[in-house]
Amino acid sequence: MRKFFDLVANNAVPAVFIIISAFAIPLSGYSASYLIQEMLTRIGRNSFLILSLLIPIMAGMGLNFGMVLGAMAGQIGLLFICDWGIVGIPGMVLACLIGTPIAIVLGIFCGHVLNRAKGREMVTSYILGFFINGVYQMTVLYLMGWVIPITNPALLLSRGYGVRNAVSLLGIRGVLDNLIPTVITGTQGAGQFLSINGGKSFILMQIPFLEGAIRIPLATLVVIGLFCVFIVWFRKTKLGQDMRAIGQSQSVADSAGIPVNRTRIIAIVISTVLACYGQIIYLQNMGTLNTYNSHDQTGMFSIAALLIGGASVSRATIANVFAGVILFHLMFIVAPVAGKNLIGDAQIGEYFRVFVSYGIIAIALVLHAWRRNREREAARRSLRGNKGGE
Amino acid sequence: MTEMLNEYMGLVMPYLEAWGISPCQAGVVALVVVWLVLFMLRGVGFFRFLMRWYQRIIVVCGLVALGFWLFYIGREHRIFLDNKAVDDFKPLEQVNVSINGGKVAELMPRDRDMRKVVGPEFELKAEIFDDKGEIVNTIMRRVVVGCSKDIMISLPVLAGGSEDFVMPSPR
Repeated sequence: MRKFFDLVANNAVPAVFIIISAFAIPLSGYSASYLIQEMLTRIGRNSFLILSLLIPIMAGMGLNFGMVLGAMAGQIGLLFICDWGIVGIPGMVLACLIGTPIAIVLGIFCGHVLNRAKGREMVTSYILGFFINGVYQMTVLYLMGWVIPITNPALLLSRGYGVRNAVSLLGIRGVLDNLIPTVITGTQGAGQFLSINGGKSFILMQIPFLEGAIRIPLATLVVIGLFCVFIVWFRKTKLGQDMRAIGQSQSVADSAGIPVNRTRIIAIVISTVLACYGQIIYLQNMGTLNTYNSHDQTGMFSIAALLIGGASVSRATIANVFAGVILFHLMFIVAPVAGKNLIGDAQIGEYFRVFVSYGIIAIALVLHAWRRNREREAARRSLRGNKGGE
Repeated sequence: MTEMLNEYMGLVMPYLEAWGISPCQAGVVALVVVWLVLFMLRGVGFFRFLMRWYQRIIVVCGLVALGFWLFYIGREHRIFLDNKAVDDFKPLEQVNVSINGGKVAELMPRDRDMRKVVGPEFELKAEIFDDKGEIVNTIMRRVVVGCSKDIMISLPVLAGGSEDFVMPSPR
C-alpha cells in the first residue's frame, strides 16, 4: 500500500496532465498530424532551455531561476549579429560566441551570490534574475547606440539610442530547424523528395493516417540529442560525480575534499551558458526578438515544463524534460480550443490552462517539501531505532 | 610596432618562400613547436603554469579568430545596381543583371535596383542590350565585397571596361 502511495505521489503531476490531455485532445478537434507538427516544433524550440536546468539540480542547487541571465546574454549576442547583418548558421554561431563570455561572467556572479545563500538558491536566483534584468534593460535601453556602437537604424529607437522593442530575426529565422529539410508524410513514399515552399525536403517515412506533411526540425533535434549525450557523459566525469556528491550532502562532500563552492559555481556557469544557447535556438525558431520581454518568462516556462514532466527540486532526468515539454505544450495547444468547444469561449480554456499549469507547479513544490520533511522524519526515526528497542 | 613586424617578416619571408611554406602554415607549426617544448618541460612547476596559460590563450585566440571568420563569411551585403551616368560613362539602354544566378534585375537608363548577397564575394552576370533589344555584350565578374556592409555597382562603368565600377553605397 505504501509502495502504491509512493508511486502515486512520485508521478502525480504527469498523471494529472495526462488525464487532462486525454479529455482535452478530443474536445479540441485537432488532427493527429497538426498536434504532432506542433509538438515537434515545440520540442525543438524548448528542450535545450529545459535541459540546461539539469546540471544545477544534479549539484543540489534546485531549479535554476537564474537561467534568465543566460537568456539575456544570448539576446545580446543576437542584437549584435542583427546590427552587423550576419545571417544564417554563421550568424547563429557568432551570437553564441558573443553570448558565451557574457553568460560565463553572469554565471560566475550568480554562483558567488548563491554560495552566500545556501539552502535558499531558488528564491535568490529568482530575485537575481530581476536584478540583472534591470542591468540588461539599462544596457539595451540607454547604452546601446550611445556607448555601445549600434549602426543599424532599423534596430535603434527614433531618438538615436536604445534598441526597439521588437527586433526581426529574419536573417536567422529557422536556419537550424530547416538546415536538414525533412518531412514525414502520409501521401508519398519514404525516400522521395517533396517540394515545400519552393525547397525540396527529404521524406523520412510514410505514416498512413497522416494528412499532409509534417516538417521535422532534424538539425535542432540532433543538437538536442548531442546535448543529452553530453549530460549523460558529464554525469560520469569527475566533475559530474563531485556535483552528485554535493547534491547528496554538502558537508560530506566537503569532508571528502571536494571544493563545494567552486563546483557549485561551475554548475551554475554551465547552466547559464547552456541557457544562452537555448535562448538563441528558441529565438531562431520564433523569428522575432522581443527585446525587453523575451527572457522574462523563459525561466518560469522551462521550470514549469520540467516539473510537469515529473521532476522535483532535487531529482530530474532527461526523460522528465521531454515528458514535460510534451505535456506542458500540449496543454498550450489544446486547452484554449477545448475550452471554446466546451463552453463557447476560448478565454475560459486559456484561464483553465494557466490555473491548472501553475497550480500543478505549486502542488509539485509542496509535494517535494512534504516528501523531504517525511524523509527527514524517517531518517530521525531510524537513528532513534525501532519502537521495540526503546 | 608595424615597422618591427614588417622588418621581422622581411627577414623570415625569404626562408619560408625557399621552403615552400605559407606564413599561416608557419604560424601553426610555431604554435605546435612551442606547445611541444612546454609539454616536455611540464615537470617543472613554472613551465606547467606557462603551458596552462598558453593553452588558454590559444583557445581564446582560436575563438576570436572563429568569430572574425564567421563575421566574414556570414555577413549580408546590399548590392546596389546602378544604371546612371557617371563622368563620361553614359547609362545603358537596357541591362539585365543577375547575382549568383539569382533573380534577374532589368535596368533601364537611370534605374537603380538592390539585391542582397551573403558572403565576402559574389558572381555578377550582366547582359547588355542595344536599342533593338539584342544582347551586345555579356559580362561575368567575381566581385569581392570583403567586410564592407553595402556597395554600389555602376553598370555603365562596368560596361565601359573600367575596373572602378565598385562604388560606395548611396546611403
